[in-house]
Amino acid sequence: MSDTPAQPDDQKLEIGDDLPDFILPMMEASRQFIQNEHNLFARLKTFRPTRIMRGQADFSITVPADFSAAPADSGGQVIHGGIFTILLDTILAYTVWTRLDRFMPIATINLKTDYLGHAEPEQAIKVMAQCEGIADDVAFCSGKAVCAGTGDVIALAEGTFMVGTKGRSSASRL
Amino acid sequence: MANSVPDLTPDALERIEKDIAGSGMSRWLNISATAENDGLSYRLGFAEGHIGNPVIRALHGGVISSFLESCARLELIARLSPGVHLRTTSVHTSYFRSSKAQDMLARISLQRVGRRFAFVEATGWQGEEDNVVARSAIGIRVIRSGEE
Repeated sequence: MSDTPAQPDDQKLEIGDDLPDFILPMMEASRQFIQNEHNLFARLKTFRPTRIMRGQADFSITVPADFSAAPADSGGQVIHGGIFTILLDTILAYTVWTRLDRFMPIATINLKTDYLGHAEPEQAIKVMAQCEGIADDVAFCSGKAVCAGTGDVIALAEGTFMVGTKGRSSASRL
Repeated sequence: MANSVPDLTPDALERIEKDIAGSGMSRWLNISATAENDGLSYRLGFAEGHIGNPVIRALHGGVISSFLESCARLELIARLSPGVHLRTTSVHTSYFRSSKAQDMLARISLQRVGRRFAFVEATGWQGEEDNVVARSAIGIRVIRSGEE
C-alpha cells in the first residue's frame, strides 16, 4: 500500500468565468458516460475535475490495482505507465476544448509521455494540463501527473491535436 | 551483445504470456503475441473500453500508445535474460490516420539495445499492414543484475 493515503475527495471544483458555453455540459455528459459506461474510467476510484479554466484543466485521480504493471518488472505493485498515457491524452484533449468558442471534434496528432516516477495503487494523483495555444488548427498542450501528497512528478506529457476533424467520414485523422 | 539486437529466446512466447498474465493493464489491453517466420507480432484484441470517442468509435489515442509501449517491452522480455528489469522512460507516438473499432496489430523494430538503454520503434496497423495507424518511438531503461 502507498505511504500517501488518498486525500479526502472534498476539493471544490474551481471554474473559470470565461469558459465557452458548451464546455461544462459537455464535461458533465462526458463524466456520465465514462463513469457509467466506460470500462476503464468507470473502474478508477476517482476521476474528478478540480479546476477548469480557459486553457487549463486539473483532475483528481486514484487508480485501483486492476491497472498494475507486472510485478517482475516493478519489484512491487505499481500502476502501469500506460494508464497515465491514457489519462494525460484525455485531459490534454479537455484543455483544447476549453480554448474553443464552439465545440469541434479533435484528434491526437502526436503524444509524448515521459515517465519519471511511479504511483502505487490507491495513491492520490493529480493531473494538471494546459493548452498553450492553437495555431493553424493545431492545438499545443502539455501536462503532468504528480503524487498529490508529495508533488513528486510521475509523468510528463506533450501533445498536439488537430482541431476540426471530420471523424469517421475521413480516412485520415487530419 | 551490447550493440546488437539479441536473438529471440526459445521460450519467448512463454515469457510474454507470463508477463501479460501478471499485468492487469496488459490484460485490460487484451494483448497477445504470435511467432512468425521473421519474429513476433502483437495484437490488441478490441474491447469497447478501448474506444476514445463513442461518436466516431475510434480507439483512444492513449490506448494505442499504451499498447505500442507494452509491445516494445514484451519484445525485450522475449530477447533479454530473465534477470533484466525494464523501465520505460519515454513514449512518443505519432497518429497517422483514424483508427477503427477493431483489433490492432503491431510489430517491433529494435533500433539499438545497449547495456543500459534500449531504443525501440513500434508500428501499429489495422487491416493491411501498410495501413499504419500509429508509430511510437520508445526509450526503455535496461537494468541488469547487479546494477540496482
